[in-house]
Amino acid sequence: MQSCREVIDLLTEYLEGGLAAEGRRAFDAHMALCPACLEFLESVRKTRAAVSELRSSDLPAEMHRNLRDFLKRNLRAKAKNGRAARRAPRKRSRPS
Amino acid sequence: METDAMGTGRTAELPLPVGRSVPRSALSDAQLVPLLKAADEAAYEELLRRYETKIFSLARGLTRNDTDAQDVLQEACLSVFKHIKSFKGQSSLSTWIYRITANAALMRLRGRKKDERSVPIDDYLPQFDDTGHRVAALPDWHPAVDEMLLNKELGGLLRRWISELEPDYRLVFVMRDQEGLSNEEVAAALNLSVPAVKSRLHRARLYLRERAKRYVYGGGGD
Ligand SMILES: [Zn+2]
Repeated sequence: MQSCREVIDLLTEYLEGGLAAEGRRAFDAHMALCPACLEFLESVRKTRAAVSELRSSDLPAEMHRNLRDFLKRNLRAKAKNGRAARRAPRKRSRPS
Repeated sequence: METDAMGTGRTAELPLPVGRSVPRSALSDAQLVPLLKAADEAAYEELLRRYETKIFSLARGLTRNDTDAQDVLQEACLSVFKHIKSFKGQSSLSTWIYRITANAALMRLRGRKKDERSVPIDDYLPQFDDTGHRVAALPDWHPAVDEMLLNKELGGLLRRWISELEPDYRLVFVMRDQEGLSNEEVAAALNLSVPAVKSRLHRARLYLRERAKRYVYGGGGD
């Protein structure tokens, strides 16, 4: 039987589905007999699940607007002189 | 450096690879590329629609700071705009964008104060004795750790622990486990081999698990 160390070294490979059938069988066999490693595996799974919740699903509204302004400014500058505008907004004359 | 290939200086009049009437949302990333090169505004809007939140989320994970994340997002958009002409399509557009985002975030991290240092990951990896059995100073896990992980209000803690990962690990970990990219995508974006991605991912996962555990046991001073 594999040692706990060997099993834990293979844990990510196992979770990523990277173990060949034989390796997977050996891994599962260890898990069936070793509650400590099984608990370890589950705890890594749970930590991963919590981390995936950190993904942002929205953008601050102001940033959303700023990006579009930024894009328009750049496209306009590019059409004028073929260069990307710098980040700092340029002074431009506004229609009064 | 950049020359106007058509020599007209009037990008608005360049012939487009697809007609103006084709909705940009119906195009694949690869189909958007020539339009982006032609400075097509609708194509840029579509690009933002597809990627702004992803870039922001990734940047937020890498910098742990909304202000920095917004700067990285803007930086990344500027880079896309400036360099799309030299994009050869050897990687996918998304890979290229993730690479740009990672680089912009790294630049920002380099400018940070010394007190925002990362912790040595080895201090949080499992220890084994000569027979290959784990040696743990604390009991290995506890239902309270599960509860903690399920409490969404504690996302701030997870973010902090992730931000204390060394950048090499953090990049891989955030891209893979937070943003859900595949190992192959992460490898392509960071110019790493897939085994190198998996190895960093592995250590980062074990680190984070250990941080969570020590937090609950109050033994980690954090
Ligand atoms: Zn074991």
